[in-house]
Amino acid sequence: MGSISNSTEYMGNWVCGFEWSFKKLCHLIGGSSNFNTPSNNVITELEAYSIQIKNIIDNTYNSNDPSDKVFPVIFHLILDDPSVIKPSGASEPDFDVLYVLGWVNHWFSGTGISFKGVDIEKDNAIMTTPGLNIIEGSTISQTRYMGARLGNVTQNYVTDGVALDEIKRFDSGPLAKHTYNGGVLFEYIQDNYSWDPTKYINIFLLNRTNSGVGKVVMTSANPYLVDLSGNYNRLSIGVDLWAIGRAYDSTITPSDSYSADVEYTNFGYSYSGTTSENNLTNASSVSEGYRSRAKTIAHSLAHTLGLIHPRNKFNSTDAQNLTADSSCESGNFLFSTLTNFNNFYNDGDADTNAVGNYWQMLDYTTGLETDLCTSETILSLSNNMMNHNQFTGAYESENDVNPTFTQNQIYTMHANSEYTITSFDAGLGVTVSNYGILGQILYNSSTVLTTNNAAEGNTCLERSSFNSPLPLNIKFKQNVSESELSQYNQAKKIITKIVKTLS
Amino acid sequence: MALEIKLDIKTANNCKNLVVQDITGSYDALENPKGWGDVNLNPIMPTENLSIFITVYHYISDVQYTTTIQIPESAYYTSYPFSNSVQGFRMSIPSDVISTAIANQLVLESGVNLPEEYEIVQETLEDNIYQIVIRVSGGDVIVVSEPVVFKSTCNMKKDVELLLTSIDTSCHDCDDLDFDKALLAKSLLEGLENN
Repeated sequence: MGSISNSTEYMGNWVCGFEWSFKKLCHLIGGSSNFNTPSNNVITELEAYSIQIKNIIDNTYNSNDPSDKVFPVIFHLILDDPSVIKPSGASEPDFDVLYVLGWVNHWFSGTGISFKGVDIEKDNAIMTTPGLNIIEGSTISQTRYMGARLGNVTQNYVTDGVALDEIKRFDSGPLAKHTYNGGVLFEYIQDNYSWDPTKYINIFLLNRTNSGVGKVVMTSANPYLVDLSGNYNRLSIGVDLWAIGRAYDSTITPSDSYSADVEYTNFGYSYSGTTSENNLTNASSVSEGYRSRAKTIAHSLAHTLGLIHPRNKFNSTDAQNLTADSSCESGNFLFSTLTNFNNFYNDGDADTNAVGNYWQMLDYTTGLETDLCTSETILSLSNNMMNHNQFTGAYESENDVNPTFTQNQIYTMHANSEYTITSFDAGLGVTVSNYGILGQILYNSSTVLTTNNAAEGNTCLERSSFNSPLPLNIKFKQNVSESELSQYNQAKKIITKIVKTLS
Repeated sequence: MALEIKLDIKTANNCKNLVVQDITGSYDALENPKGWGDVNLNPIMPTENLSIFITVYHYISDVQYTTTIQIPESAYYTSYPFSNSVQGFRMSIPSDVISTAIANQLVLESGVNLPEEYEIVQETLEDNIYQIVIRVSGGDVIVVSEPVVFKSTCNMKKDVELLLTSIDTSCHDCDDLDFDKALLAKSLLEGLENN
């Protein structure tokens, strides 16, 4: 591997780590020594991916709506203090997967896509609490290289947290001294604690993600790049627990209504009085994710389903100085013409907007922003689920902000569940086309979900009928010659005609 | 020697199913050195290790398609003469499963639109040329059978038989041309069956 200038520093103040994973996977796949420039083969792959998605949308969804899809989800809750999810003092956790998924499915309502907590564990046992796997943080340790001075150091989840990536600050040159992020690498957690990624969408709820100057609290990856990387564990999502929504409050009885004031939400965790309280990286206070209402999870899942940020830039150094010219018209579509990761990119969707301060936590006093492309005043905070941050709205506007997906985004998510990857099957000795990772998860969903009932919070969905489409498109050697086929068909035609005439 | 899967392929009498049967037999050093077991692949394995791929050469509205499908969850349509063994398996795949799989496959293939004329749920197996391949995954060993071509004539045969019985050969006043046409159909059918 060549010189990699990957460092979490370039994430600036961003809260979503999608660009980080995108850039890193491109580098891994392409083998380019320059971390900022995707190699030609990666560009070619992304173009082919983009065309295939467009073909599915144009050719298939044009006449038939995509089938409804229910994805099996497992939440891995990694705790350094068990009392974090038992703030009421009860023996059972106050954290409720159904409640969280209810909100996630609320944000996805109308898309034909929903998520359901899995019923069957990785070892085929029926789960006591569907969709929830609790992991004791102290059991997670990793010995990793942290520079010439420190050498190999054992990092523990409880004492050191989670490192979004290895290097915090990258210095080039012969005397370079990189600065390392402390903690267990998120990739280590993905690789060692994900359940079979061809059957489950894994979501890790963490309590401390170290990302250097960045404030990344949610990380997810593009499925096609994950397919190309050959490591399906890279699809696993990471979200800081404190960022999923309002913490437990004993004085509040949560409302079942998704239109209820945010004051009446309760996500069943609390850091108050726990050993974790003062160790929350990226959070200036334990209530910073107050208004998220699981939008961090929904946003991450949408990335997993192939969506990208509406308008964005990989390196946020000068993001605040972007003008309409630099941000919109000159932006390249990420999957076809982007040749430099320092350039601004767009999502190719005319119905999404660019917004100012899109990379930061949306902790504003107003929900109105100026669209950088049109100069129009828009409700920018969360008018689209893929705008960069889905945490907060102003106190006054929070219940008016219901982030949605555009029609193209909805179709794109469906198409990402149906694309195929072509490869050579040594066993068959032929080139085969397999479903991508999302198609595989859907195809295998019947092995981890025991019920066909609608997913929580989304009353219009049944489990996908995805078991009927085929997992393989295999081009076997054709043993039937054209003349043989022609003769057969001619004879069949004559026989059919005679039968029809004389009957 | 390695396992060489031999297949017998036919349609069910009512033309509703495609029947694929393993006739490989057990290993015998002299009589059947490419059979199941012994030095070759052990047939004791989970049934899901068996996959069937069918390439169908078919026409829709006079346009020729070559569609390869894998029958999903083929274990549902398979019976086994020996417990815990796939040896001698017999797959009886309903026509609607095959036609639905073809439709799904056509939808999935880029640049192909499923013609409206295509009947997705077919009651009988359409008379077409079918090429069948069986794959067996036994641990690290994967065995793929040689493709076997099967020309289905079941529906045509039923129609021609019905036609012949409906024509009164003792009728001297009847049009001989009809009889000749029926015989032509019979002759063509036999040609297909024998090739």
